Amino acid sequence: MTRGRVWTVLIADDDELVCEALADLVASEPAFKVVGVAKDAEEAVALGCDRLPDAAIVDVRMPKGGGLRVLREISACSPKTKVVALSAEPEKASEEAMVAAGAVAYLTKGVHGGQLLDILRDVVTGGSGR
Amino acid sequence: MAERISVLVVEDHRVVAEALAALLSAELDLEVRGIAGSVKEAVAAAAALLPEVVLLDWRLPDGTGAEAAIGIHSKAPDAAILFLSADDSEETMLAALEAGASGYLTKSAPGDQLVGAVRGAAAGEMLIPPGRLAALLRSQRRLAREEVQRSRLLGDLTLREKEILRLMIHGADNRDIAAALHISYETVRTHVKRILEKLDARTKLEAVVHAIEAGLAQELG
Repeated sequence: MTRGRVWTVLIADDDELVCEALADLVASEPAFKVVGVAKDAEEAVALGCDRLPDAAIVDVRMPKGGGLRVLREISACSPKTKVVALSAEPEKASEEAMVAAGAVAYLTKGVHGGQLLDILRDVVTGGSGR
Repeated sequence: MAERISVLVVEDHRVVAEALAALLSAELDLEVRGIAGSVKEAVAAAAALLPEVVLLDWRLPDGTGAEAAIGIHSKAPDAAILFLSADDSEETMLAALEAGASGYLTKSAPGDQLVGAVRGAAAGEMLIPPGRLAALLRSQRRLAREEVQRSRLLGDLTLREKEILRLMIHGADNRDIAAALHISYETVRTHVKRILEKLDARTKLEAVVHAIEAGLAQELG
């Protein structure tokens, strides 16, 4: 990881507790800065296009369009943003759709905090997150 | 220092479970002994760890929180179970209390409330969101009344009448019923008349509405 560089991260999940837990987890790592927390797809797109984060952790199922909308619209206005999809359940169809639309990783909610941070570090430095 | 309160965290979203565990472990008097992500894991962990308090998510991938609570109590009967749920409907809260919960917290509860709830549950307190107890008790009384009424109505009906009422609920007219049960049209009319009397209804439609309102439709199938 580039020394001293701080990577900006957007978090989008409609579950308040999940948002808080993810924000605390990401903020616990000095190399990351949470620049926005969104509760639905619309808010996520607005924040993503305004803050142009290095990475976004996006819940696949969200009101107002879901993760796919967020991924497509943020990719259009902020092509550098690496989107990590987070899904409640492993769903093949949604994984394929998210990856085809450009998600760099597709994680399920069984992922541990440490693993999530490792994947985030990997994707912002150009890795595949896998 | 006094012995710490042992806690098991049951939550399928691992990052959330870890965050809850970190929040509780930051308190000197609390100790998170384990994390489980499903009903199966929760029951096994409760048996192995015998925690004093279980913080239990209502929605788990392999069952409901109520199922988990019953399984946990079969292995760790003294564990106080605190439900944590995004769902704050009276129906879910009542189901949680009936499953043996010591308390019910909504996921929007702030961290210090959660810590306080764990301490309270360990001390044997019953914790329900402030302002909800009166409404819950009212709901419980209403449900109990409906149950009594349902049992009474069902008890009053003969087996044949229940059969005919079930067909009426499904939209059958007297001729359909006669054909389905291989009885005469006149016999059906007599049964229907008695059903109307017992359900205090003037018309068949009213009888069906009363039956549905009293929850008989589900019981009759």
